[in-house]
Amino acid sequence: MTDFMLARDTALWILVAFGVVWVAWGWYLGRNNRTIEDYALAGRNVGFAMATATAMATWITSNTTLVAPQLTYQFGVWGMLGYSMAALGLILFAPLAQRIRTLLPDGFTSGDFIYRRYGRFAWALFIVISLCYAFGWLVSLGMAGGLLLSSLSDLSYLTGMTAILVICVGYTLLGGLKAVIATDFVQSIVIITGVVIVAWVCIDTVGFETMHTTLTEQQPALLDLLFPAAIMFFFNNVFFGIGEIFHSNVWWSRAFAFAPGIGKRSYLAAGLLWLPIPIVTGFIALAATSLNLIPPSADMVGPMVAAKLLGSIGAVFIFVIVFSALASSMDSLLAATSDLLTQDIVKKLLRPDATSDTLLKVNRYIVIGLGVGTWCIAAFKLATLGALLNFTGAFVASTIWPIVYGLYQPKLTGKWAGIAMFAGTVSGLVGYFTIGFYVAAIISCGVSLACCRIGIWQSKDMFHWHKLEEKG
Amino acid sequence: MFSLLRWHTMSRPATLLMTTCLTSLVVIALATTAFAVTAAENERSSRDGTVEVLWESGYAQYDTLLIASARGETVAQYPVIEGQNWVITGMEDGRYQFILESQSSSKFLFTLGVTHYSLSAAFSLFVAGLVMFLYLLFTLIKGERSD
Repeated sequence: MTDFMLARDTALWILVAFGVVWVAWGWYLGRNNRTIEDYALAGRNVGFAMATATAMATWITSNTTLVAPQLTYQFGVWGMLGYSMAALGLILFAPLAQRIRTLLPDGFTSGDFIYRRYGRFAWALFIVISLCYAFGWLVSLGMAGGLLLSSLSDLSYLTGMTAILVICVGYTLLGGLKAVIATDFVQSIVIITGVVIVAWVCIDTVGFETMHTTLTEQQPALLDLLFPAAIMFFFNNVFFGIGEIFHSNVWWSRAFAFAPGIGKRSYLAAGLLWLPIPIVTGFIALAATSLNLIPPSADMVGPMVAAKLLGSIGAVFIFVIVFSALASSMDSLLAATSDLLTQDIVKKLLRPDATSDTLLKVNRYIVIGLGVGTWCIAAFKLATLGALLNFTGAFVASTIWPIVYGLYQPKLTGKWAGIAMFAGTVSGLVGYFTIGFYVAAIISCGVSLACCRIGIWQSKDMFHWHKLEEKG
Repeated sequence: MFSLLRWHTMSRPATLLMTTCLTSLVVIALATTAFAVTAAENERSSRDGTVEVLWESGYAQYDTLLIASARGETVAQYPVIEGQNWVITGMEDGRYQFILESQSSSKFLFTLGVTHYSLSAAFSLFVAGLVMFLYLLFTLIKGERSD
């Protein structure tokens, strides 16, 4: 145990306090949920402030608090800047959110759109991709909880991972999307305040000059603007971020939940507010060597540096920030993935005649099932967070063009949208295994674009947008 | 399953494209695994300047992990913390020796050869990404205007 670690009892007390407060609040917010629309879409009437906060807080996650420092530690300045470009996903989704709300006023999930626009073949592939991504992200969040606890206290990885899953499943189950959005609002304030203080202390304690000197001597590539792997990574991360947001039901369910006219403004504001956050969280990783810290796993560098800088009180502080970041994403993902499974698998395939009450019950069982499933996979801790997340990049980036053309280009057919997703994903995985995790998304997106263009060029069909308003 | 996906309605070139993609993925995954198994233990390589040194029980008797250049100059040194791996990043092109040291003894771990990807390959991918990003922007703006 190092000098900056939390005592076992302190860590357990924080976990219990977090658990009780969030779960009780979730119960309070969800006590009036009567229908599946109340539970899954917060009554389709979320206002601008809540909408912006939930979009931003959901995007501040283990990615931002653990993976941004990891990528800065591996790719230096380019890693930090490249990571912040994930904000483009939120910014570019702004116009899409408005169009989605207009074209599908009664829509529930991203799967609804793909089914109505492209038919079963593309929908089946899309659901597989969505679920692979959702599980990858959920597992990475569970892993992040475990890593956080094991790096900041002498509690085990399994304890941390179990704690975050139990807490998030608890309040999502009781409160639905209302609880998710309200907790996100508070969590976003905690996170932003926290990361600004940590960065300030880092600059004040270590200083730019010391950091620059140490990096020049020991890790010169991190300051090199011509660092090849980092240059490869830059646009890969841009397309990974765009793919994550464009396809994921986390963002679509919000587009359906926000009041009319709110989606475009709130996604744009959330993206602009999110942009500098990875720069702040990533920057502190550059101080690791100056502090004589060497992480046992690249994704632990952020919490280690922060805890070292702030001492034992700082460890509590970091614990709260990162736990908030993890919870704000995990709850959203649990809610959105359970909606996707309820609407797209249960309602479309298994029980088309299910009532709102039945779907509400099923949705809650699915939230519990997702929690259990995530625990089983995260327990194995198969990869680092960065590697695991970027593995899913091959899947999600293949959906960018089918989504964009699906909303704006009537000539793309379901067959070619499906081929684009399939060929893009496979090519991205080939790149992941043969070159590295930093090229998977860009290759996937490029191949998917080529397939879509061939499809549009060959097509003689024209899709009529009013068909999207028909029930699937 | 095939009827669910309406596989039989796929054209022959489309089916061929999908089969080729899947086969190439399996072949590459197998080849990558085979290569990893045959790699020499005391000779390692990196294309991005990152290396992970895994903890082994015998390392506890040493104090420092020393990284030396091919000419024997010390590049960096890190403390040994029992049970913890080391992840070292940001290394430039070159050959490095990884050595564990204590006051009374030392142990050679392995030699690391760092050869970064070529800049031309990296910039090709960067430019391809930039072009695709600009095209995405163009498509969204055009779609938004005609909406």
